[in-house]
This record gives sequence, C-alpha cells and structure tokens, in this order.
Amino acid sequence: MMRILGVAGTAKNTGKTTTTISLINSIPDPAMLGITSIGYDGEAIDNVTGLPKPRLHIPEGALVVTAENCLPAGSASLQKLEMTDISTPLGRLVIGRVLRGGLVVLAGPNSENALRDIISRLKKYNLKLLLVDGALGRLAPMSAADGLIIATGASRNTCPTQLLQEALAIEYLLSLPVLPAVEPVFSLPSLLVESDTGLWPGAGGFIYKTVEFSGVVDIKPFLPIAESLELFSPLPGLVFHDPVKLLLCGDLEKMAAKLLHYNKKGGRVGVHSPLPLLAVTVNPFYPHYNKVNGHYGSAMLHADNLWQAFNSGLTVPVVDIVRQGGEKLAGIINSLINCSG
Amino acid sequence: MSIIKKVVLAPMDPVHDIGLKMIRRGLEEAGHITWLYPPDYSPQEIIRGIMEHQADTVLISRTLGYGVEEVLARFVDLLDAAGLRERVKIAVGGMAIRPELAAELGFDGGFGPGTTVEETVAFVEGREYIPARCMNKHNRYNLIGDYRYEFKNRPIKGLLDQITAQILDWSKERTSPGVQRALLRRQILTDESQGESTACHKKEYASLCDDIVSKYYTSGCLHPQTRKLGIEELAAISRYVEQTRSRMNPENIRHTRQKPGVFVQYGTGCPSMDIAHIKASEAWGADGVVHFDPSWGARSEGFLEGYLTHHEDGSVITPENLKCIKESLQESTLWQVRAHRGVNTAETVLLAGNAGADLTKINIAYGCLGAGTDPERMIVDGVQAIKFAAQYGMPFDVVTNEELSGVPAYKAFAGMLIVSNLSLALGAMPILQPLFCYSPEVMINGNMSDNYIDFNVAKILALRNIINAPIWAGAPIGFLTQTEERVQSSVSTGLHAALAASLGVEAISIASSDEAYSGGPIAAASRIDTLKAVKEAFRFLGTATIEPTASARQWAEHLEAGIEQVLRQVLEVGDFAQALQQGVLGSREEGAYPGRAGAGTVYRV
Repeated sequence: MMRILGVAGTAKNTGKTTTTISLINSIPDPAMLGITSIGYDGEAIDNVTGLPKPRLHIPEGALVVTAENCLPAGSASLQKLEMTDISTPLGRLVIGRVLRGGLVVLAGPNSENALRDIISRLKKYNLKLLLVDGALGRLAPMSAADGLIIATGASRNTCPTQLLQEALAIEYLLSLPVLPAVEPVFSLPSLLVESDTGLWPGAGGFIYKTVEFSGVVDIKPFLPIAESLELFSPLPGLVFHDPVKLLLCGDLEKMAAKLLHYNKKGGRVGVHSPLPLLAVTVNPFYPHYNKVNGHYGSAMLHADNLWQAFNSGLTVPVVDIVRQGGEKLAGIINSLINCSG
Repeated sequence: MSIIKKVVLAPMDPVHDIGLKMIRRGLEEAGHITWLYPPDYSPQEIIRGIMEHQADTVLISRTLGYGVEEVLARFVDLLDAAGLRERVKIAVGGMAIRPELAAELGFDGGFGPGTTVEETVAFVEGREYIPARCMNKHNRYNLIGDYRYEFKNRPIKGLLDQITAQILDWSKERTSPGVQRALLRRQILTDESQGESTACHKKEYASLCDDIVSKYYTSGCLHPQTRKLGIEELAAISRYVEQTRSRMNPENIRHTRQKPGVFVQYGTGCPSMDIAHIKASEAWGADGVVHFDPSWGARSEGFLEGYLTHHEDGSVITPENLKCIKESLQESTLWQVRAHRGVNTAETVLLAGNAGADLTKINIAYGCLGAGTDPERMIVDGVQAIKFAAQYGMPFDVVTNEELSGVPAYKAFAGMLIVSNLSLALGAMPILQPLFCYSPEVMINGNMSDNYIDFNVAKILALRNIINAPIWAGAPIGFLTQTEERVQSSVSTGLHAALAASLGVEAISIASSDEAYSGGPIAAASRIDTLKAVKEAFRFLGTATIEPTASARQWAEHLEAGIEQVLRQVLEVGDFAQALQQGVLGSREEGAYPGRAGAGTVYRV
C-alpha cells in the first residue's frame, strides 16, 4: 500500500527541499519511491532572494510527477510513463521513471484534488511511498497525505521563543484526535471573515451535540463563535474537517489556546480526517536583507540552542538535518511504510 | 462568443491596479461579468466575494517582494481549503511574475510584464492563446526600397563620372592574385556543384595564397589560431538551431515607423557562439546580422576551407562556415558579410553571394586608408568585388570608418561617393554608410560640444543634398559615446537610434552595451540591452521628429562644399590610387595611412 508523506514548510527557506533530499536518500530501494511537489522545486536560485537553493537529485528507479515544461530543465534521464490531463502553468503533469539518476525540477499537482488524482493514478505502479514536497507556506493539498513533516526555522521567525510557540501550536493542532460527530450535528461552512460569525445562529435554543466545521476556519469569526459555545453545558463537541483547515486559521497560537481551553472545560475537540505530524525539522539559516547594498545574504541563529529548545518542547522527533543528518527521518519513513494504515 | 464568465479582479497591492483595470475593460468588451475589488482586500475577503458572486475566475495582481509570496500562497491555500479550488480558475499577474512562480504559488496561470489584455481574456475563456507568434511575424526588411540614385548635385555628379571613368580605364587591364583566386573559387564552386574534381583548380588556388594558407591545401595544415569543428559540435549546432527556431517568437523592434532596419554585428570566432548571438538578436528584433571576420583574414592572401573555429575574435570566412551561419538564420533575417578592406575582398563577395548573403560591404578608400591595403591592389580587387555584387544582385554598404582614424567626414564622404558612383556604373546597388557617432574629427573641432545631434544630422542632410540613395547609419551608431557602463551605453545607443529614425534613414548598426569596451567576448545579455534600448527609443519617438539647431544645416553646406573640393583634387591628380597615396582623401596627419598589404601584386592582364 502506498503511503503519502508530505513535507511542508512554515515559510520559504525553512528547509523543505533539504528535508526532502534527506528523505530521498533514506530510501533503500528507489523503485518503491515516488516524488512530486505541490509547488516548484529544484531551481538553482531562489526566485526572490537570489540565493542558491539545494537541488533535487533523484535516484535511478524512482518515479517522479512533474510538469512537461520542467522535463528539459533537469539532468536526469526520464522515461515518460503517463501524460495526465492535469494542467499547470508549466504544462500538463507527466508521470515518469528515472532511468538515469540526476537533477530534476519538480512542479506537480498544486491543489488537494489534483494531488488526490495523482495519488490515484500512482497506485498501479506499486510504490511504497510518495513524497510530496511542499511549496512556500502552502498546506492545503497536504490534506491528502498520511503524515506530515514540518520544516521550520529562522526564515519564518528569527525569535527562537516565538518560533517554538508556533511549532507547539502546530503540533497540538496536528495531533487532534479523530472524533465521531455525535448527532444531532450543526454544520458550519468555511469561516473566512469577521462577518461570517453571523453564520452561527447563536446560543438560544441550541440542541446540537456536535458543531462540525466543514471548511476553512479563520480565527476572527471563530473566536466569538467558540466563546458563545462555551456558554453551553454540556459543551458540544467541535469537529473540524482536517487539521489543515485549522492550520490556515491566521493565528495558530490563538487557535491552539482556544481549543485547548475548550477541551479543558470538558468540550471534545477533534477532526474528521487526521494528518499526523511525524517530525519537525528545524533550520537556523535565514536570508538577511542588506539595506546598504540591496542584496540578500546568509545569516544564522545559534543552531544548538535552537535545536535544544525545540527538542525539549515538542514531543515529535526534532531534526537539524544539516548538522545531524537524516537518520531519524529514515526511521520515521520505515515506520510509515510498515504501518498498515 | 464563448460562455459568459464571472470574473473577480483583485489587486492585492496598494497601488498597482492599472493592469487589472485594462483587463477589466477587455473582459467586459468580450461580454464577461466582472468585479474589480479595492486594493486593500484580504485573501479571506476576496474568497468570501468569490463565494458570493459564484465567480469562476479570479485574477490577482501583486508586485512581488520578500514575504509577498506567502500572502499569495495563503490565498491559494484558503481557496483550496474552502473547497473552491476545483471550480475557480486563478491567475496572478504583476512585475516579476513568471510561470515557474505561478506554479510554485499554486496558481493556474502567471502573467508577467508585457502580457496583453487579449492573453488574459483567452485565459479566462479557457482557450489557447497563440498570438505572439502571429502578431510578431517578422517581415524581411527592405533596405533598398525604391531609391533611384538620382544626383541632385550636378557638379558633384560630373566630377564623380570623370573619376569613375578614370578608375575603370585604369583597372580594365589590371588584375591581382585576389581577383584570380576569386575567379578560381568560382570555378571550384561550379566544379563541386557538378560533381567534378576540384584538385587541379585548388592546386592553382594554393599557389596564389600566402604560405600559411597554402599549407592547408598542400598538407592539410590549419592556420595556428584555428581548429576544425568536430562532428558532435556540428550536430550540436544543428540541434540548437532546430530547438531555438521551434520556440522563436521575434519581437518587433520598430513601433509606428517603417524605418530604420536594425543590424547587429557578430564575430566571436566560433560559429556556434555566433549562431547563439544571432538567435538572441533575432529574438529581440534585429532585422539583420553582420559577419565580422578576423583582422588577419584581410591581410593573408587566400581563404581556408572547412568548418573552422577561431581562437580569437572574428569568425573565419570559409564556404562551410558561411553555409553553417546561413542555415541558422530565420527566413526574415538579412545577412551581411563584410568584404571591404583587404586582399580577399573579391573572393569574400563571391563566397557571400554564393552562400546566399543579402548584403556585403565594400569601400576601396577605407580599405586603403583605414584597413591597411595597398591602394592599387584595393582598387583592382574592389572593382571585381563590385562586379560580383552586381552579378549576385547583392547590395552593399560603402562604409566610411576611416573617420574613426581621424579623417574628416567630407574627405571620407568623397571616397564613399567615388566608390558608390563607380558601383552604379558597374550595375551594383550601393548604400551610403556615414558614421553616426562621436568621431575624432568632431572631438577636435568641437562640433559635438553641445549635442550629438547637429553634426550627425548635417552628414545625412549633406548626402541627401547630393544623391537620392539609401543611407545606413553606422557603424555602430553612437560609437565613442559609449562607456564601460551598460546602462549609459544602452541609453546612448537608443538615443542615436531615435535620431536615425527621426531622419528616416534606411538602417542602423548597433553595438552591444559592452562591445566597445568589453576587452573580450561580448555577452548576449549586453546585446539584448541595446536591442531593448533601441526598441524603447523607437517607442518613445513614434513618428515625432528631433529638431536640430541651425548648425546642422550650416555644417551640411560645409560638408557638401568640402566633398566637391576633394573630388576636384582627385581629378586633378588624375589617378585614384595616387590620390589615395597623396592623402587627398585623408592624409597621414589626419590619421589615414595608405596600406601596404598586397603592394606590388597588381599586374597587367
């Protein structure tokens, strides 16, 4: 059975591609591996900062899914197995087998449905693992994954304390349990703007045991609704579609704090479809903008202190790939592949 | 009319929504329903609006900066997580937006600078956009037009006719190794085309060459600065040309005027590098390319053969190299092979004509005074070269680069007019090519101490007062106004191009922004610098004109008078070669040195 592992970053330059490279190198048999990206990966130079980026070297035997216009940009030799009808700004997506290992530029499915479509098509190739490289801070397509590795670091925030607080919130939201929706259920659509609070009918005459959130949950309309719900006894359960819908809330720490508070008051909080956090990679590097010469340069937080803080605070494995290598990630992959799902 | 689309246009940018307003107009003209949002909407507000309007397309505009990508990615994520992504098509446009970035951000389309309204309308309507190739069809530029070469200045015409008669009379019973080689080469080419042996003629050809060239024919030994291109290299050139041609979508460099045609020069030494420069130039709108050969190619008697690359600048002229270049050219590209200055002038014109060149370059006076060839030899070879050009119907410019040595314009122009009138007598089509730059003469005399306009205008006015002939400002325009600084060089080139356009000349030659001071290979990016600068200058000028000061007309009159005076002096000497030797058309004090290459080689038939 093919498992889907997503690698998402909290921001640009947090180490997604480095993490993906480490994961690729951890696979004993490339023939069991498929690789794609929900963005654009493998370019030599960052689109904005102009700084060099790690490039994706894909081993012989692995499967890749990328846009047709990206094929000439790499050095790997590919055998086209399937031309799909999924289009991107760089042409239609192609499924290919790497005949001779080399650099590959990946631009794969960039929406959740497109990723699910690709996953479905890949089933016939008997892969054990599909790695899905993230894009910028994008998360939505990752709802289709079986597990997630989050790459974060100084590029997201140069304050280690704030960075850890955010990581703790992410860990909490991704660890919410699967919760069955106990009838009767009141269902809310996406909550996007403050005025969406009006989608909630209010506390009067409320008979529901579960409030189900089927779409995006922005923090601004959610907070007044949550505060209103807290007036009930017993508290109705809160069931979100999946953790990604919460990760897009706009303020992770506020959301985690509110849900934790609700839970402590006796309200059940969970998700319909889980997305387990398997590990966090932490990267001390960040691009520093030099106002004098107008160029970006490299800068670093204290690597050991950053890792120590994360490792003490989080319960999932924490890895600084550049300094510690990818051994821990290899173990995570083995567990995922061997898990029956 | 396609199905009516509901389109949300959202400028997620505090100031830049002009593009979206233009697109909105295009969409509404096409019958679609649009909503243009204010620039301060958050991603969540835009998505709420999409839901309310049940829009099927969203066009976002945003200027990029660090952190902005995350905002755009968040918008896409929210749209996806809200379950709208499958039914709403999204595109982002703005400065620095490219398809790669659009893919990275999760958009369906990305539109950067230069995107047309029609392109975005096509995106909204879900149809393929193929316009660029059709709209940018690059037509072959007509350089000669309908000029009839009528002389307005009759006294000058009278003088020129007398000088022409002298030259033709003097040269009719004279020949040279260069002329004989050219005739042999013509025979060799004929033999080859008919599958006959060329050995005998090649042996005779080798006997007329300098040792370094002769050795190639007798022992296969190449010139020490050259090597043969390998089979794989030639195959790579073919592949490169094929691939480049398949995606070639040349820009239109001109705006509302039909003139001037824009030429760039190439001559890296290596045919494959040359071709890469040519393809870049074609893509950015050049109308024509000019082949530069090595300086030793003008001084060594005879040409090599084969696909050769040269270790230094200047690309070696051989039948095979010319064929290779010709095969790489777009159908619309005009191709000039220079032949103007040395002991291989006649054969160069023959080979150029045989290879399918559109233009060549011949000037006997410059070849002697600025390029080191003996006057008698240059006249004999030049006359034959002009005859070949006439036979091939190949126009040529008559360049006045001796001005760069310090020769005053009126003297250089007298030489140019002598060669032009001679060419007309031989049935050829000369193009006048005055320097359009900051020449030593004007530096010394201060004619450009106020502006670069008046003296350049004066040259064109003077020539037009004399003859109705095509004028090609050269070469390159703005020469010696350019510095090591790329922006300055590009601006200067663009301004000179605007002046040339204002004057309605037929063509201009432009340098790359690093050409004058590169001290080494020219970068393709620098070549594109000046092509873009020229395009921008043409856009700026449109059909407006640049008004010179009164000095231009006064200097034009002086030039015309000076030319007439020089022609009288040539006639007084009674022999064109002697006039060149005596400095009538440019003296040693002025920087003109009659050359010695090929001296003593002219003989009577």
